[in-house]
Amino acid sequence: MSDKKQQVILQTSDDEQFTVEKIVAERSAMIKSMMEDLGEQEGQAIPLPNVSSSVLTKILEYCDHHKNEPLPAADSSDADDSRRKTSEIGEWDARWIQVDQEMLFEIILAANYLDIKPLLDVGCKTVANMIKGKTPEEIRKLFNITNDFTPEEEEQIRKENEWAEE
Amino acid sequence: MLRPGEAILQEIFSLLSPKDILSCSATCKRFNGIITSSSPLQLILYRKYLQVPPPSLHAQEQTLRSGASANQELTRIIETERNLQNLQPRYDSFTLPSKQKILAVGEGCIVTQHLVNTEKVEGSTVLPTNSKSSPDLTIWSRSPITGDEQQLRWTHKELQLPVSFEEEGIAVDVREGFIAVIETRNKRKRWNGNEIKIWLFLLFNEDVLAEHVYEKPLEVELGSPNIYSPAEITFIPGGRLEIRWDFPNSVQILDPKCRGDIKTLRFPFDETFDAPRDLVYVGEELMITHVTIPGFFEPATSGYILIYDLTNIPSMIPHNSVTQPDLVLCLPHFPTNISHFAQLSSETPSYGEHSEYCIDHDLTHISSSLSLDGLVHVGTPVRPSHDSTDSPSYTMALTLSRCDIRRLMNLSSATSNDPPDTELDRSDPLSDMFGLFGQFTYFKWDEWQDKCFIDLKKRGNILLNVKQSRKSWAWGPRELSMLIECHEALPQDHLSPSSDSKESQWGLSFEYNRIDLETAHSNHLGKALGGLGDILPCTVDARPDGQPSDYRRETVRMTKGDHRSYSLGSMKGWIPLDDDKRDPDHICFDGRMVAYQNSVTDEVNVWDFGAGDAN
Repeated sequence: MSDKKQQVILQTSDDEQFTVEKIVAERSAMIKSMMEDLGEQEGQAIPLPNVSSSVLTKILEYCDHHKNEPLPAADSSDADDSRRKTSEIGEWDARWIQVDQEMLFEIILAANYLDIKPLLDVGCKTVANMIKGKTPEEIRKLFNITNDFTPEEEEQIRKENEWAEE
Repeated sequence: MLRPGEAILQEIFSLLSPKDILSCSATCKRFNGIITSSSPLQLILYRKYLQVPPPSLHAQEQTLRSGASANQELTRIIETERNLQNLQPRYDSFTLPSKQKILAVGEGCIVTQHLVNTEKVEGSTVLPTNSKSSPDLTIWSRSPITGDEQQLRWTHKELQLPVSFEEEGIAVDVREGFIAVIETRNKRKRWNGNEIKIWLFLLFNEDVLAEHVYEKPLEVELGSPNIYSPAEITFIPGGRLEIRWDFPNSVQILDPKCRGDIKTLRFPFDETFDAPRDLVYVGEELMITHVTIPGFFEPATSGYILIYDLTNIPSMIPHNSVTQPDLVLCLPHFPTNISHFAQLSSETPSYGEHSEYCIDHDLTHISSSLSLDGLVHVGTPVRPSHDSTDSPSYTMALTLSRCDIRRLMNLSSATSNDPPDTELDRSDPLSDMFGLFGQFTYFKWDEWQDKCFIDLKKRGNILLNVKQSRKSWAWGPRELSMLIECHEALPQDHLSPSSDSKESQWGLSFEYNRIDLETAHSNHLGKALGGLGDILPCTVDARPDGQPSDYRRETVRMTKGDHRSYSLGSMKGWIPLDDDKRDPDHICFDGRMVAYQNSVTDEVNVWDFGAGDAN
């Protein structure tokens, strides 16, 4: 291991290049496996055609903050379980993810694409928190969803769901 | 508008409470679709649901049913399920008048047929009839006397068919508050033409056996001159009736809601090959079955899964014309899968060259479990190709979801506009399911056999790995995680027959209990949320009383599964018998109640899991 920190170049959809520490980039399982596949080729940029520079900037912030934490075990059941059980979002994460809705979904999509499980989780939990306790109408308003049910269908669903009201 | 895809939305929804999930399902069709087609989300809802009063039934079903309210009905179903879980049947017995034979059980009723038409049953009310002196069928049910248990009696009401062919080819099913009767008259006897009649009688009313036996029955005449075998009649999801003919090997589906609407579906290979016997309905639209074709080349036996889209089935088919399946699948060829298995399961002993194994494409089992997501399980043996007793044999199981099937159907119709040949096409790349969709798992052969899914622990291990390697198929892993959840709720130990007085009291003990309870419960949900039940086959093993517990004298396979809600897919019960010349037909089981008729004494033993006052 050399003292010099290993660097990786990431190229976004809008052709911006980011030079980041390898340990930061490796938060993304997708980038990590790409680096393994590509080998140690100095100066070669890893293309990320699905991520814009503004989103990547934001995500790298997250990755940098969490870079020293152990990587989640590769898709094991235990990781899935512990992930699910901790319903709380960390303090730093909660502050970090206070973004507008569009950015929030961009982050979720990018986290999914880059395969950063803890980040995807934070994003999903944030959205879930937004939904919690809202009526269907409030949810529509929240996400700008068009109600495409007929009144009859809506009534039918309401009836079927009646049992959950307490 | 929410941009994230289905998988992410599902992830988000799974973090919500049941109430919030339902709120989301009421916002738009897209959300609704995602939520209703996701097993894990439905499981969350179902768990919540079991603790609260049941919802109203689907509107359609309510029109089918009269009498008992939907809530009463569902409460009873849940009660039944709990009794099954705790093995708490209510034992009862009564004696039949002689010359009667049990035809069917269902809805807590037992339907018997008079074998000889000259007997008159004492104290019975014979319905007005033109020509006959005795009724054709008798419906037995426990009289609704409340209070003193000593006064509980099995009472009966008699049912006269408008026209009767007497004891020739009659089949009955009781479900959904109706009794369906099909009568056939054999061409080779007396008449020069076949006659087939179907009647549907209203059975279930609050005062079932008091005064209201049937309203004007639905009567359908089937014009199928080639049919000369007795038929089976079974209620299937959607309140429809399935009429099963052995020759020609075909099925007719009758929808009583649409008078006269009959769909006819004829299977291939009815003369040379094994007839498909396992029919699995996924919702109202899909029917899945399998055929096995003994081959002259490798593999020795080929198994094909035939999938029919019932919405496409015509009402009448020309004679001798086979209905084309909408999708034909054959199981994948060998080595890929077993090596896959070998890598994934650490518990698997290494068994050298993969080529030593072959998949016998003799599909042993097909069953559908989750009605909402239409999970279908298919099993086929994998065994050493040489006779080596040391090598373990496996069963390969394939799990499909309704979405898997739909997607493949779309794929299939997009790539080929030509109708498929009558001959199943082995070279069709789509027919090789492996790598395309579905989830494969392997079990040691002797552990699986014809059961649905048992060793979920081992499977969980495999499935999680499969999940990793098949990330791109969004439907698979979700179902799998649900099944792993099921595992946690399963009883770990087998229940052995014991000398426990409580068990001997009701005379039904259980060798082991491998009911996939969560799966069975999920069927509740299907019903409760407006879905449709499904069918799991049931097997009842019988042994003479006093024999060693591992001695099985005879197996009675019940062809009628219970599609309503409770399913005993893999439960086996021992019923003590004292009659050597027992007719297997005399044991009936509908998922709720076991009825066994002793043909010597005409005593009927009833083990009822659905009785509200189970002790």
